[in-house]
Amino acid sequence: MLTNKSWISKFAAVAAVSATSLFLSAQPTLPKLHVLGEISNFNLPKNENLNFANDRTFLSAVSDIPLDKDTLQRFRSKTNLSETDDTVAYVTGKGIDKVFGVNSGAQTKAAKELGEANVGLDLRKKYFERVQNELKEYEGKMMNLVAQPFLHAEAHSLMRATERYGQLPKVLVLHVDRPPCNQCAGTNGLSVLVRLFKIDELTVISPSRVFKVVKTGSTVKIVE
Amino acid sequence: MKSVFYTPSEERIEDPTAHYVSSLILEQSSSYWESGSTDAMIKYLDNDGYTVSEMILMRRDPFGIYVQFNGPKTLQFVMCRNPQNPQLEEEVTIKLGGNPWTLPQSYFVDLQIAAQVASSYINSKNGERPSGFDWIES
Repeated sequence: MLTNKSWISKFAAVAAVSATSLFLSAQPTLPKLHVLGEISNFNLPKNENLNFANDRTFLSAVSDIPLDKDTLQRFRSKTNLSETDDTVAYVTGKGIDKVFGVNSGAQTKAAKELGEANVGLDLRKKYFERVQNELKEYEGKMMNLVAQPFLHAEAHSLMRATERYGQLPKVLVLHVDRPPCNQCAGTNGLSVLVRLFKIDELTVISPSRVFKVVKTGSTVKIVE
Repeated sequence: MKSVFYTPSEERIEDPTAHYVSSLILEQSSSYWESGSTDAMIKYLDNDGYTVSEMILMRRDPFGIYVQFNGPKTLQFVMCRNPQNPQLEEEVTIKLGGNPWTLPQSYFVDLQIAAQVASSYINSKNGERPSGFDWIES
């Protein structure tokens, strides 16, 4: 037999669930958001009135393409890459197969799987020099010091795709198995290659961040 | 114009406070700063969403914090402890996103200075490179 107190609390719980169901069913259709993954739970200060655009569980409003973990993991399993240090990415688009790239620290280990002679620093230097010559940027600078993105997996996949196919499709999707650093995500990173390769839209899908690099004329916007 | 802050753990915070960013620089652990993207970024966007400027922060103990300011057309400045002779100190190799990066050790400044320059950038509300600090074009 229920006491008055427990009956009231059970009734309140059922009423709350019903009310929530009614509320949710009455909501207009929301933009589709894709849950990509959980962020490590560091104890960050949150006692300020801050506008957290994302909160631990990452939601993307710019793309609902899920990260292709399986393909990236299959590439990894064929190599001897470090789980902590090395990065694998691939780029794909209309009319081109998946083209993989790795960070410079992994390129020797992945050379056999990449299957081409020109996978190393020479390739990265070639495109850094193209930026210097064609965009007239980074002139007189050393790649290692100022252009880290050229040494990372995301750019590597774009360079290798250009080597293989020449002109790339205008719209590309890039999958990468770790969160891009801000050198890559910033305006001096993948944006530079988007301008060099005359790509209109590059969507970057990672475990915890999705963004588009969109070219309009000679300028580039990061959309997320 | 608005500012956006990306933490190493991939949180995206619009119009962050200087106090919040400073507290992450001064109080969070090195393991926090080497997690996720392994760096942080503050950037200013114009009303159309185009980037006006960026400040990238990368803490690596025991060296300190690397602070990079990106202006237009890949123009980059870094804070430097020895702006007259940045190569004075030996080079150190750290990892960015797991990949090795060798830099002059003088490119790493004390946490307090990094907190000051980040606060100055946030409080400026205009995206300009904070003055009164030792920058060199990298």
